[in-house]
Amino acid sequence: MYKLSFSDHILLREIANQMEKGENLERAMFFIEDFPRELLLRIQLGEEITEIFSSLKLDYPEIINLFVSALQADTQQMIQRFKSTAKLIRMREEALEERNDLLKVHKRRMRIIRYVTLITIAMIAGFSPLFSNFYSLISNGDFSFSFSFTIWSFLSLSFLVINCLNNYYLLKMSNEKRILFKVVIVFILHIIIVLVVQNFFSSLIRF
Amino acid sequence: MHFSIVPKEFLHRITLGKIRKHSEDFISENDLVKLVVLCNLAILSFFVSMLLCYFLIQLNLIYTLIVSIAISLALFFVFSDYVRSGIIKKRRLFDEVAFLIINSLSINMKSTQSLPRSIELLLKKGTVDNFYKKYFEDMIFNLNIGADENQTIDENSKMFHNKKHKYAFQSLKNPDSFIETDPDFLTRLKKEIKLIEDNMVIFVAISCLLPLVLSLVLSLIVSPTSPTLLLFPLLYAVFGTATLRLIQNKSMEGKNV
Repeated sequence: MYKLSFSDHILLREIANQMEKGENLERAMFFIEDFPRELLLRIQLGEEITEIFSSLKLDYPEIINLFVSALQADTQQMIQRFKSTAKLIRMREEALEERNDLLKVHKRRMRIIRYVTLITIAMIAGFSPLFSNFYSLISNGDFSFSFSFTIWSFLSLSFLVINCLNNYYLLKMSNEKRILFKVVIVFILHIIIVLVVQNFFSSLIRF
Repeated sequence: MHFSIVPKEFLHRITLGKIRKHSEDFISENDLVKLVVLCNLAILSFFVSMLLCYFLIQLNLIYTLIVSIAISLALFFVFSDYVRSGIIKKRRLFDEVAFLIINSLSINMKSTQSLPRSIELLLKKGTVDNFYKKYFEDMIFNLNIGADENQTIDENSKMFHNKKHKYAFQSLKNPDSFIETDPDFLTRLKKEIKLIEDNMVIFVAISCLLPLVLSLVLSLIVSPTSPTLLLFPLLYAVFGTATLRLIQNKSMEGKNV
């Protein structure tokens, strides 16, 4: 697959311009700047033009369909249609870019919220042995200084699930890609932070 | 083929809800199979967690029941919502390229003067996505066995949500059925941004404060070895998924206008 260095609407417009000058579809390719040389070579070797297009990696692969029947139809009208489709794609890309710029701000906010909550919940989970002592202080009235450090208690398990879920929801809210992969990272990070905090905590208690 | 313990009709109504009508053509066979498997897995996990809680952790029977129900419900809701948002995503991607499909169909129509032939050309290079490839293949099949062209076009235009696209598809045989401008797209994008902003405030308020505060308070009130603690994240799973789903439904309604 070859990736073009320009966007799809430029390809469409260039082809339309060349065809307007009287070139056919194959020859039009040779006049486009930065068109992959290997593909031009393949055109010279006589490969079918639709084959060439399908080995291009396009943002809108559907535009290949525009070319499929272009060879058989009334050229003048075809050029007009290529041009208006190119204009449509350009307008869309501009609008999408504008939206992405706006969303980028939100995404950054979301990312900060995600990291902060991830670390906070993991740290609270690390300090969770304290809670059992607080609980005994509230229910029995005495605070004991013995702490049990286990990762597999109900409390730390529920913190782990909450952390993963919270991150999953925030990822989904900000329309991120590869959600499951990122949740797995959260899972690992959570366990690491819990271990570090508990290590630190247990060495602190000894003194 | 895939045996479902819960009646399939009921299962689909719970999991897919509004999108059953909204993006009917985008629910693939594979998605439905996934839902059935998930449902069966949830029921299986109910029994497994019953065994685990009762014999391994040795909770009493009521707690065992409550925890197992919460586990299976949470599992089912979270993962079925994952499948559901996959379907919504497919729908959105299709909406974004619908104008190109109609435009290439209309160019093909112009050069071949026959509907089945122009759809064949559309499918020729495998550039269309698999899920609407099947849709168009069915259309060709129907046309080839002699269905009425106008009727087939009318029926299949349901797939396009945008009214303008729908009309353009319906008038495919008309030489002017070409989409030149697309102002709806811009307004829809603006609406989408506003919705995301609104939803973010709501969701951050619910999602970040609730789990933190409640788990802290709960851990002080409830003994750390009590299974009530296990219930909380599972309820959060159900609750959070329901909120997200509500937000999704709201944004779908926004798109239909």
